[in-house]
Formats: sequence, structure tokens, C-alpha cells
Amino acid sequence: MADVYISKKKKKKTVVKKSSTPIVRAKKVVSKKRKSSVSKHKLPGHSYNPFSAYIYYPDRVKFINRDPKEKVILLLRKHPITNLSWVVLTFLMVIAPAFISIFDFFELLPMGYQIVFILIWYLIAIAFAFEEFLKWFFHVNIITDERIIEVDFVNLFYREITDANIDQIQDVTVEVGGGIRTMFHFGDLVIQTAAEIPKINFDAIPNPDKVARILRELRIEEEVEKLEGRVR
Amino acid sequence: MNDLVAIGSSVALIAKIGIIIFLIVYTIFSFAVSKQVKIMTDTLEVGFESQIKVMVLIHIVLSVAVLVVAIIVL
Repeated sequence: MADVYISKKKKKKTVVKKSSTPIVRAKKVVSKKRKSSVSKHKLPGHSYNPFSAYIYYPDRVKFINRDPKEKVILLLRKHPITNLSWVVLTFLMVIAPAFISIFDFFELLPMGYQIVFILIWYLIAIAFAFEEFLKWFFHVNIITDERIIEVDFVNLFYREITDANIDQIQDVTVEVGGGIRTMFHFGDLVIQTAAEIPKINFDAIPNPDKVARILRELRIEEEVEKLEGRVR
Repeated sequence: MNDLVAIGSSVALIAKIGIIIFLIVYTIFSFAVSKQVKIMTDTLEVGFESQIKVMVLIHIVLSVAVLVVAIIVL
């Protein structure tokens, strides 16, 4: 029987043109990975940690009033170091009952009252820590391919959602000042818009320079889309 | 002497009522927090909602437990 030569199948290479912007390259990588049903992708700044303050192309982010075709490019929160004050305060509240014997009047109280007072103290500590955590966790800034959104939970029943289209952005200012902010590389991003709300602040976000660059690229891309007539 | 005992017991009663009212208000607050978390998770999903809901549930259980302990112990 004659040998039959079977040529090796050529492996498809994922070639991304270097001439395109990083945003476009990242979009292509994500779409290719999705097509090949590989859920994990390794983009710089991408993270699966829900507590991360800087997530590039987050996988699981959904927000209210999201357009089905809208892609989330960045999810930002305040830098974790900004939580230090309430974490220290909570720690002090937790260890405080150990030093309660300093106050003589407390030991004069009946045992039942002492126990209940300490339990109430811990309840207040838990409530304080939980509220502060929730405020940090749900106060996010989102950048999509169409708009920027700020979700802020000011207090228990007051939420504020501000958004502006990418093409309405007029000016982006990066503010990094102070020793701690310089050391941990976080700062504010002030975005001036032509929308109803003239200014949107991204407070204490990590890598503000990178975010400003991404916004600039998105604005350029939006301009190109307008010129090509691909506006959604 | 009897007057002092009566004053002492009435102060204890006022303190007990005050603590229980505080804990009832706190329990209402814990339910309010659960409502707040529901609003927050409806507004934004990032893949940690179920754990936060469990934390809220633990908070409610703790507040109710302390209320019950206060009613029994005081």
C-alpha cells in the first residue's frame, strides 16, 4: 500500500496589527479569545479579583441601564490604601473592650449589663466597618466604549449615577499630589464634559495616567467612528 | 433605705428599656442595610454579590440574637 502523505495542519496565529491603538488591539484579543471559548485572557491590568481597584476589561461587570452592545473597558475604585483610616478605626473598636477595666464604673454594673454593653459595642463596630466597606466597594467609576459612568452611594438610601458620552469629553486632568499618592501611584481624574453635568471626578483611582491615556484613545476611536459613519 | 432600692430598681428598669429600644432600632437598621445592599447589587454586579448578601444575613442574625440575649439577660 502506498504511503499517503498528510500535510500538517497549519496553526492559526493570532496576529494583531501593531499600527492599531492598544484599545483596538485589546478588543481584538478579547474577541478572538471569546471565539476560541477560552474564558481567561491575560491583558495587562486585567484581574478576576472583585476587590481590585483597577480592572481592565472586567468579565463580570454589569450595571443598571447598560446598553446590550456596550463593552466595559475599565472598572475603577478608590485605591485600597484609602481604606486605611476606617480599617484602623475598626481595629481600635475591636480591641477597645479589652481596656474597659480602666473605667471603674463599668465594673460596678451587673454582669448582664456588662455583657450586653460589650455586645452592642461590637455590633456598632461591625455596622461601621460594613457600611464603610460597602461605600468603597460600590463607589465605582466605569469606562465603556461609549461613555463614562460614576456610581456613588452617598449614604444609606441615596445613590447617584452620573454618566457622559465619550464624545462629550472636553478635557481630562490628572491630579496626583502628596507623598502617599505619589508613593502608591494613585490620584484624581477630573473630566470636563459638554454634558448636563459639566464635571465628573474619578477620585483616588490607581494609575490615573493610564486611565487618561485610555480615555484619549477612546475619544480618538469615537472620532474615527463618527467619520466612518459607524456611530451607534 | 427602701426609697434608695426603689430608685435603683427604677433606674435599672429605665436602662433596660433604653437598651432594648436601641436594639430594636438597630435590628430595623440591619434590615434597612439589607434593602440598601439589594439596591446596590441591582445597580452594579461585579461577581461578589452572593457573599455580600450572606454577610448582610449574618448581620441581621447577629442583631436579632443580641436583642434576644438582652431581653433574657437584663
